Amino acid sequence: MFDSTNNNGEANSIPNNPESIDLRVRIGSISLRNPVLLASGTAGYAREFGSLMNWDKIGGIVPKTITVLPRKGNPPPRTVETPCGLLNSIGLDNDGIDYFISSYLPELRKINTAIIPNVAGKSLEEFGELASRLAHEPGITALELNLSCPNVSGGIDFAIDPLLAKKIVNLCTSKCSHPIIAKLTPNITDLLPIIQSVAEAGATAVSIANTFLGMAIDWRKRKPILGNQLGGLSGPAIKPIVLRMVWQMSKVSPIPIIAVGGIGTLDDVMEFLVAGASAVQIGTANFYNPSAATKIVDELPKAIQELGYSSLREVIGVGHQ
Amino acid sequence: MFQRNAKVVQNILIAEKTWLLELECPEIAQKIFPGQFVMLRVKETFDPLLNRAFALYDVCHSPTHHYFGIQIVYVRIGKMTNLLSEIQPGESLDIIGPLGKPFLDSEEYSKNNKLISSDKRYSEIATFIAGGIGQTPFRSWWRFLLGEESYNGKSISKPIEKIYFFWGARAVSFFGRLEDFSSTKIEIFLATEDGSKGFRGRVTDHFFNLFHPQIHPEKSPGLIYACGPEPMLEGLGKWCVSHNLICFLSLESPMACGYGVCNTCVVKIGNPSLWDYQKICVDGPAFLANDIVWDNQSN
Repeated sequence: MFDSTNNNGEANSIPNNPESIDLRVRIGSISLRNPVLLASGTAGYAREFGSLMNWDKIGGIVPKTITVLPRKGNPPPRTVETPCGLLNSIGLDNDGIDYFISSYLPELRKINTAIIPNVAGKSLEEFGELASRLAHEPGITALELNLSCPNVSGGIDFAIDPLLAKKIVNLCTSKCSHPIIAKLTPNITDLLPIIQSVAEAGATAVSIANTFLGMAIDWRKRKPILGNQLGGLSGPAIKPIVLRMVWQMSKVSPIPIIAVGGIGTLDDVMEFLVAGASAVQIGTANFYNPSAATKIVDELPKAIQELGYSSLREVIGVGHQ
Repeated sequence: MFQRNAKVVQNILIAEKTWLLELECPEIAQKIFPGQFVMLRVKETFDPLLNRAFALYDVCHSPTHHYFGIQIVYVRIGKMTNLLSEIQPGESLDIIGPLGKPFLDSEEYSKNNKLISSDKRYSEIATFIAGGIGQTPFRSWWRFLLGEESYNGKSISKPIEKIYFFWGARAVSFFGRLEDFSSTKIEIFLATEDGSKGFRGRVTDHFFNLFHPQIHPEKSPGLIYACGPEPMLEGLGKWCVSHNLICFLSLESPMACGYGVCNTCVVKIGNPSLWDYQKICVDGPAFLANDIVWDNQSN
């Protein structure tokens, strides 16, 4: 089991004041002020939030996936709400890497939080190109590889093929010195071979997981609701499944796990930390509650104190002890 | 843009399946402009999960707060509006707003569209065409255009002279608060599908009959603003384009966020051979009919 709990030799005196609880986390070479990140595809490029977000508080943002060329995305309807969940088939609607570097990245650098760009290639070569383009850009904390978007035509899911995933991570780590995070698909029986492959290729961490393939049908119209027919399910509906995955994988993963899937409250975050996640990403909750992430950061110290710890690191994986 | 917890002041039935909800939210009331909308959510529930978009109906004042809150009008149609209709005064809702772009009056429109700046009819007349619950954005808009209310610190420099207000519904029982549109400068034209009030048939046909440029060349609708179901807006938009009338269509779409991060509510803007998706929540909700590429026109 990967262990990122407090091993810096500090005495574990439990502070009386929640403000003195240490929320910092280290994920391999990645340092974050706290483990609460905003998930890719649910936080735009930061500018959209306007005054709705206090960037000084959160651990970081994973902006919306960038591809080599601009993509218009899928035809609407692009999302449909299901009980406690959201199906989406946005289709990587984005302005491409050139525009990201010239327009979005300079703005992202101005906010006071970790920036973890997320990229998706249609091929091994495209992943390499994206990693090269971002390799020397300042102000980037890490790079998240979207190996697992379910909504891109072509149907290639790089995160179901351990060999291909390994090649992609290998290429990206050779082109780019930023720490590499591989975002995996949950649409697979066993995550471990993929995690081992990307770890061997030098990935710093894995994000578990992208959305679950699903669909919705309007039976009266006799057809699927989403313009792309199939979509990815997110939101509270998937949380127990992702929690199970993180619990199982954190016991055996050689690299840290960033949990993403239905996380929107303090309880969710604490559960994933106890299950072994080193950080979490807030996703769909940003849509209906843009202040969810900052509220959780405010509430974390008290919850950690309640467990009798002085730092967040002590909570990570404590469920396995 | 604010995210707030807004206390319900009143939530009353005003027509068949139609409620008027008044919320205490001074900051949003002070900043919101006609054409914009808010996202609302009943707290502590994951089903329904997402916020729902509601157009500003109007702002309201209290003796102590110049801008005290806002009103919205909604139809009980699904999970969220079912919950909303049960909310009692004193309870509170999550609200995000103001969202979207304000409506453009002729002065604002002329800034980027020189062709009409010399045509005084546009600064004197406006026509609203509402289908179903599509009247909601027009209550505050007429009050702005006629100089009765200022929004976000702005009042109209030269109030317009005349508003033609077309409103169509399934039956007379769906017209709620018609008195909210009463003014000596507003002429109201009603249409019902069942003929229980006004013109029997589609509200757009009612409008076409009365304002067809070839039949009534002397009549100008001025700038046209429409809100309603998409098929109605598509038919109206195409008709207006073909008759060289300037028409803004306030589009409705499912939205997951309402503030531009989810990329759900896209519409094709441009022309059939060169278009791009724009977001209804941040680039709209109102678009010029000329700019919208309807799906059956595109590749």
